[in-house]
Amino acid sequence: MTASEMRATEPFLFADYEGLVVATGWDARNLRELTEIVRRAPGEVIHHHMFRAALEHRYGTWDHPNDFGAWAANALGDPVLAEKLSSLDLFRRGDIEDTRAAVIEVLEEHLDAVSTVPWARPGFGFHFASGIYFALPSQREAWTVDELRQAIAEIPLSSLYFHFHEARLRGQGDEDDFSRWLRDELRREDLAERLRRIDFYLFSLEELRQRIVTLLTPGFSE
Amino acid sequence: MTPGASLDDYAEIVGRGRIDVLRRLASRLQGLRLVVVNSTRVGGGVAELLSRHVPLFTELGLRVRWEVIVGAPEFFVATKRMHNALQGYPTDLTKSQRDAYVAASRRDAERLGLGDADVVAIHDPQPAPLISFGPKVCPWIWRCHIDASRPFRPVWKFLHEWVRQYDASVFSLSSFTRPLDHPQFLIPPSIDPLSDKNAELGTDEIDRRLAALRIDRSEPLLVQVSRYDRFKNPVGVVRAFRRVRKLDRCRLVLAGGSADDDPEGAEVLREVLDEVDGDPDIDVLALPPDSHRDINALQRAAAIVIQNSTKEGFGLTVTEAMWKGKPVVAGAAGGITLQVHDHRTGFLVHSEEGLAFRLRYLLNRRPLAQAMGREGRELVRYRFLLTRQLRDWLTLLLIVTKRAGNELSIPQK
Repeated sequence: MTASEMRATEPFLFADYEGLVVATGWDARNLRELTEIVRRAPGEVIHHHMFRAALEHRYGTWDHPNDFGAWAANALGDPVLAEKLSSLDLFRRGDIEDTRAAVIEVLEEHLDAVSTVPWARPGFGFHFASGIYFALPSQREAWTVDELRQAIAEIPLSSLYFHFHEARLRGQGDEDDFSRWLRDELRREDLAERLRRIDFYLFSLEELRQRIVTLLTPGFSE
Repeated sequence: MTPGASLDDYAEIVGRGRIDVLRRLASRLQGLRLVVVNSTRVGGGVAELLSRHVPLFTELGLRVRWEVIVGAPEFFVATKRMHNALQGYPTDLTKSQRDAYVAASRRDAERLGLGDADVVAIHDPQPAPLISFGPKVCPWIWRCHIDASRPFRPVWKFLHEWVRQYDASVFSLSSFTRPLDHPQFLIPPSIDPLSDKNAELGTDEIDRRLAALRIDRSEPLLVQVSRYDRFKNPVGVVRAFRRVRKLDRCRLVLAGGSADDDPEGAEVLREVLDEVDGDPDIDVLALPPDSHRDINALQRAAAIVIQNSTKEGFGLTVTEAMWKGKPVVAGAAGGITLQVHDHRTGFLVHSEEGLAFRLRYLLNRRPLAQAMGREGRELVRYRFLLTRQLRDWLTLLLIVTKRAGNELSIPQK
């Protein structure tokens, strides 16, 4: 039996992750309005725009991993603000109020530095939203590294998001579900470490899927 | 349309995995009695949508009943006027029109027997007052297909009396929503990849249909498919085309409805023909409403598809073009901005000059145009096909019936 065929005592259970976007009715047409709404919106709204942006289909590569950064680039045409907002890698930042504070800091600093408030181009107001999402058992499980890799290649992207991104917000420490299982169930700390080191905030979900599959392929060497 | 299409037929297009997800979601909704109500079984986008949803929900194990509200002629005058008012046209309903509107629901509430449903889904304003005239023993959802963001206020206030009684509403886009006290879910529209308008066509059929329409294909075709409406700015397309043709070889096709029952459409068509003034490089088509396969063939024959809208709902003609692998140059309006992404799936433009510039840009970069077309098709496959809309509806039904289990997550550390 090869290392990638070794069986775990407990399988990895995949979940489906489903949900819907819920409109809040709050719209921002310029940077000051955006800042004011970010300040008072419920945490779930901040969560939705900072983290679930990955669930939107993105192309090959993506420049702006959260909705605020994308809006600064596409609606305001403000590359400086877009760069700053897109650089906030907030999955590792702690609770949602810390996230909000970090976003507000960037927005206020930028407002202080510009002489006129930047306005969105017509038709590109920022529509604040939240979401109602839930995880359900998918009936798919993996007992070996091979099975895990094969399943990751096939699961819905929303399921990948749930196990890789949201896991860090659910669990203790900066760790995804796959790494935790590889370490705890198969004693494959080497593979777990490879997955933990993925700079996932920069990847679209399809890119991330390919990356993980590559890292779990037997014979892979960095 | 493929009336007998089953979920397995869609699996060939979207992948088995996505159909499996639908079945897993539906496994928690087996036997759910869903009643959907709208105002017609034939004609219009909502009837077309329901005619596909109902059999597929049934195949998934839900017990779906599709009902239609019956009204007197004055009812339909009232609801047409209401439709226009919700989209911002300043027209009010008379006392007798308001009475006819409410009377239809009062009369039909008993006939429709909504008391034995597990969920009631009401489409658009026509049947909205039903909620007041029967036992309300289950969640009621109001599905608004209209852009109601800037309504004529007296009519909205009248409608709001019923809408506010619902447990949830569904809109197509964030920008279409109204301030309401219940949750407003967002479910974008979709296209049916197996319908006549979107199904794969063989080269022979495309050639035959374009020949029958007398379309000269000796140069790359720029195509706009849209009813003759000022908000689609077809005259602007003709003017932009003339700028392009000074420098690049191409032809223009404008395809829209015959406008027999649409006085404003006929007027806009006349304006377009005046602007074209017999130009042999431009074809202006007025097609009958069932020309779905002709439209399909025209979109597939296009080098670039144009949608020069200045005001737009979701813009499903853009979705259709992208599904056929075409780059799209379109006005930055409504739902088009969700579909057309600069340098990815096409270009958003804001002027005749911009439209001409981007058409030239793509005509001179054919490999890039083809790559954008491929990206557009994948975007549609992921977000704007019928199967995604089914998934959203199943998710919504799980949420409103609280059958998602207790795993509802609003993650926080």
